[in-house]
This record gives sequence, C-alpha cells and structure tokens, in this order.
Amino acid sequence: MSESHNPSDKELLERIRNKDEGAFRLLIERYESQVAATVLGMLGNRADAEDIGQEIFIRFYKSIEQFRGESSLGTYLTRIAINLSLNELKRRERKNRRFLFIGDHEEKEQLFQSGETDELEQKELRELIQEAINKLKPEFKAVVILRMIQDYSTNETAEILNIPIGTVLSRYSRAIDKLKILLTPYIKNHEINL
Amino acid sequence: MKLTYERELILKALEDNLSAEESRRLQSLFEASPKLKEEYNDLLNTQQMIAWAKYDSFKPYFADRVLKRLRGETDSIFSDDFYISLVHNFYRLAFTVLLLVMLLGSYNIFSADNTSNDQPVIESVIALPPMSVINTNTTILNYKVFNNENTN
Repeated sequence: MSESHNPSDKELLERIRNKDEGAFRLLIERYESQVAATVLGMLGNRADAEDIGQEIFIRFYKSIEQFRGESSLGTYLTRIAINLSLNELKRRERKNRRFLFIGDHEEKEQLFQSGETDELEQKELRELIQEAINKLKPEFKAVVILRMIQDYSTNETAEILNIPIGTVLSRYSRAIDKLKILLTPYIKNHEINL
Repeated sequence: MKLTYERELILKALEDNLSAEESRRLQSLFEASPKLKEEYNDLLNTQQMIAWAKYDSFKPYFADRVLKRLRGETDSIFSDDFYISLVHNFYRLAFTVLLLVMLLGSYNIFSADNTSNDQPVIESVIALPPMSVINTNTTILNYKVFNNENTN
C-alpha cells in the first residue's frame, strides 16, 4: 500500500513508459528541487531559467527509452540540466556580444564593494551570491553548482561533466578563491541562518 | 593549474573526504601555519554561503506548466503528422488524376477522326470536333438549309 503512495523511481519510470501522466507529475515534483538548484544556480533566477527547467523534464519524457539506469535518475536529470544550462549560457554570451548592456552589471559591482551588508535583507544577499556565481565562467560555474550546491563529490562531478578529476579540483580551487574574494565582506559582516 | 599538496588536502577537507592519515597531516599543517587554517575557514564559510543561497524550486505549479507544455507539444506533433499525411495523400491524388488525364488524352488522340489531318494535336487531346472557318460556314449553311426545308 505504501508503495502506491510513494512509488520508487523504477516504478515511476515503468508507469511513465505506459503514458501515465500522474506518474510523470510525481517525478517532476520529486526532482524539481534538484533541477531548480542546478538551473537557477547556473542561469540565475530568471524567467528563461524556468523554460530550461521545463525543457529538461520534457526532453527526459520524450527520450525516456534512452535512460538505461546506469546512473541514478537525479544524476541523469542533473546532467541534462547542466548541458542545457551551458548551452543557454553560450546563447546568452553570443547575444550579449551583439547587445552589450553594462548598466545593471556595474550597479551590482558597486553593491559588492560598498560594504553595506548589514542593511541587506537575506533575499538581496541571496541575489548577490548568485551574482557572484554568475561572474564565473560557465565551466567553473558548473563545478561550483555540482560540488557546492548539489553536494556531489569530486568524482561524481567529474563523471557528470565528463572531465578528469584533476580538472574538477583545479576548477573548484580557482572558483572558490574567486567566490571567497567576492563574498568575504558578507561572510564576515553578515549573519546568515546556515 | 597544478595544486599544492596543502591545497589538495584543504579541498578534500571541504568535501569531507579526508582519510584519517590525511586528517592528521592537515591538522599538523594548521598548527604550523595559522594562515593556512584561516584560509581553510574562509573557504569553508564561502562554501556554506553558496550552499545556503541555493534556489530549490521554481515558481509554484511548475509541474502543471511542464505537463501543459508537454500536452501542447504532443498536440503539435499530432498536427504535424496530420499535415504530413494530408500532403502525402494530396500527392497521391494529384498523381492519379494526372495519369487519368494523360490516358484520356491518349485515348482521344487515337480515337480522333483521321480524315481531318490538319486538326491540331491539342484539339485532338481534348476531343474537340474537327473545326475550321470553311467547315464552320458549311455547318452554318447546312443548318440554315435544314431549317428552311423544315419551315417550308
């Protein structure tokens, strides 16, 4: 009885293959937070990030036969999320090359250096942290999201990104150094409910 | 970039993935260099801060929106299939009609009146009776004669 209320991933997949929409809804609800953490971490909390989030689940649904269960469903979805997010970042970069807007960027930069952290609400602080992540190059950002936010190990991160472990460590080291520089004023001056 | 041994240990510590031996070594390195310990603490705080800032959901009713979009795409796939099938059937019908027209044209050519050799081919194809200005006048004259005879 409890199985029908909380079916395993394997059961859900079987039901989805039989076009059970309810099962697909359950799967989306189960993995929404994991996918959201990856996509919103990579792309920021923007409307187009949700489009990518939707695209991930739709792609998975359409190519469900390709999922052979070699990795966990969460890891598989995270891999799709990372790939689509990297594509989106490339698309944005191409677009930004054509239409270069720097106003908003400069304003955030000033905010980072102002030291007025005590006045910032936690929501704003979250946005600032996201902005710091956004300053990283996409390949570094992917490592940060997987290692720090999704809490994947170095080995798992290497597997998901299909890069050597040494590269993961190197990128992680450089990324965390940059983030430390950007966020140190807030770490020391602002109380966060960790 | 080649990482130093100390840095590798710190990164492993951040991952909470140190062996007992590595943990002891890092501890002794911290004792020897408070700066290294401070660096570790800064990185640990940064890591915790990043983890704290994560977004863990999209806007409410995300699943509904995904399913709605999926249904839309499925409908669109259906529409595409219908369109392709319509076009395919049109081609088949067009080919059949063209074949029939050609057969009919051929039939008309072969069954045309061979006595009127000066009739254009196109008229034969569409089965027009042999017609010329002289023939037309003759036909009209015959018609008038026929009418007069009947009247008288």
